[in-house]
Amino acid sequence: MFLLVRQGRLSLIEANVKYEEPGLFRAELLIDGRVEKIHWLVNKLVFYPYFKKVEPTPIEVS
Amino acid sequence: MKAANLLVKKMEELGVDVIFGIPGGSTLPLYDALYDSNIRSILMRHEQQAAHAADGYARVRKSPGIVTATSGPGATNLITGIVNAAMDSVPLVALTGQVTRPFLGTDAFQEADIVGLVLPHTKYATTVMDPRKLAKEFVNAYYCAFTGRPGPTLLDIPRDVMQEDIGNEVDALVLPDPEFCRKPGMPPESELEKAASLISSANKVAILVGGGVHFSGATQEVLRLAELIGAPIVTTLPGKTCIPQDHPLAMGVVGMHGRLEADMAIINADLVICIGTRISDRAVGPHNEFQRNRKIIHIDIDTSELGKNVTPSVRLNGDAKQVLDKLIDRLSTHSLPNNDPSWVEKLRELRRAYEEYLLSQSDESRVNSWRLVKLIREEIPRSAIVATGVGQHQMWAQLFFDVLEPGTYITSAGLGTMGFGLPAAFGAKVAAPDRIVVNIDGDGSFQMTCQTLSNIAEYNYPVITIIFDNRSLGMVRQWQDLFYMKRFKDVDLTEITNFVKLAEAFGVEGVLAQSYEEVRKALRRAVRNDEAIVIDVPIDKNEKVFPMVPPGKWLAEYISPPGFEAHGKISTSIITK
Repeated sequence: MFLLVRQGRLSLIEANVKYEEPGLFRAELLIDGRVEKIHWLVNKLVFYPYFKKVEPTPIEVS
Repeated sequence: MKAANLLVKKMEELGVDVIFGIPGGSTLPLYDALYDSNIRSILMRHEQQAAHAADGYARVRKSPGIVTATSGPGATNLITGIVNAAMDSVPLVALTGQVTRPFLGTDAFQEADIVGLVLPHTKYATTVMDPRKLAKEFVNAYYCAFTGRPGPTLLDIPRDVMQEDIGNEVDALVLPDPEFCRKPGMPPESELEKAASLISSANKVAILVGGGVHFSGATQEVLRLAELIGAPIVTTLPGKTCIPQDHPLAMGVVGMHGRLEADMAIINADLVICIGTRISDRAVGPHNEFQRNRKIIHIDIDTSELGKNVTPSVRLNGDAKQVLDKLIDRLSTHSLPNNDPSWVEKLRELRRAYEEYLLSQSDESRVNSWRLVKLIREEIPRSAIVATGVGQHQMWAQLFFDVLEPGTYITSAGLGTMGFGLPAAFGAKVAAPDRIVVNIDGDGSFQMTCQTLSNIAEYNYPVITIIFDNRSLGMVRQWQDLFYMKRFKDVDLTEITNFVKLAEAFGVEGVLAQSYEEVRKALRRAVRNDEAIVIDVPIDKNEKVFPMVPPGKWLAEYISPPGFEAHGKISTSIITK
């Protein structure tokens, strides 16, 4: 996950990784970068079987 | 039953019939289980060659190639082959042994974190810690390798995991978990309609075919589309295997070392339909130039490729064969594009003019590489499989070797791995023993993996190797010549090495051929008898690959060989909006 953020030349602002059950984690990433690259990251994550679901949530920063 | 035995049983059920690899301490339980299996295990001479052999096998069979290595250096020797498979989207499953579980993380003898090393370059990689999950993990890795966009996967298995007794209760049927076999969807009808409208209103449509068309089996659909709309077809290097060059709309490979007529097709197009390609800059030049003044329809199975390098007007996510079928259906309700049929004829004229020019410049006192490539095509059957190494010889083959049947051309495109040719050819021969297999190699590439000759002799899977022998790292030398003011450094290989004796030392006949007739004679005999041979052909080290588009430049800024100017042969007007 972090390797892909790096590959996309995105900036990782914050990461929270929580254990949910054996073998299952939930990660929330706060990422800064070009919108197209963030779309790429979302699509790329789904390419790998490590990830069950990916939901992007755009937030506006003033 | 040991976990390793169940693993082998599952491999058999999935149809695995051959494994390439080298045993070691950590994989002894696996090899013990293979002892009683019908799966053939082929003992290679280096794990990199094993990975390339599995790669060549996979490209021919269109199913995952299996490679195995022991822990530590065995596993790390696989890395080049795994990354090569990732870059060309080839399905591969690597099984590596690992130190026993209590010793993990202790820097034990022959311990290496292979999962950490290959993680960025695999679709899936994991260390299997539970013997009861080993069979399931293999099924997952196997399906993952070929579902959707193909690619390599890796299972790292501690020796004690393989060795452990898991009892006799075995699941009759092991299915992959859903995340490992996510089937691609189809694009919405609205996007297909947009694509059809764009095609219908275009003036000059070109089709760019990538390697994805091969694994999708979509060659016929591409040809149908091209014939329907009168569009010239150009290919990337991986896509070259998909399109028969004797089709009237086939223009060849585009890009840095592409055919002039293929580059012109893209330069002059106002719409390019990109199918099963990641649209690498090697194929289309700078992406901003490729997008300028032309629309793009991008069809690909991997959603993350759509919009990654270029911003397409229409994105069609799905399997190429299925999407093209729907698109062709949709086009039947639209008028055809305004394609001027004389445009394609002008591109073909350019091809003829270039080859006439080359013929006029040929030096009859020595073997010219481009004519040698043509000779090879003349002497081998249509269905012969050709693999190449990496370097100038690869580029000459890219430019001048005509693929006549789909799926018969194997080359390392994305990673450009020297040494790929011979082991990949060997793997292709194992996959298709009744076809002639030829390896077009350079002397630099050949020396990196020539030990595969001993496998060719030992297992009797004959490969015909032709070495374009200029005693140099020719492509690097060419760049030093063109861009570094002929300051040649570390590109000249010794004259001392005798490739004929080298081949014979490995049990394969070697022949020195210094004329076209000598090559033809040796090649014809080897093809007639389907026998292994190494034909060493000396060529001039100053011979260069042209045309060439310098790095970072647009396709129109190609360098032709001195004396040939394509602009005089065809108008290169760019359609402006």
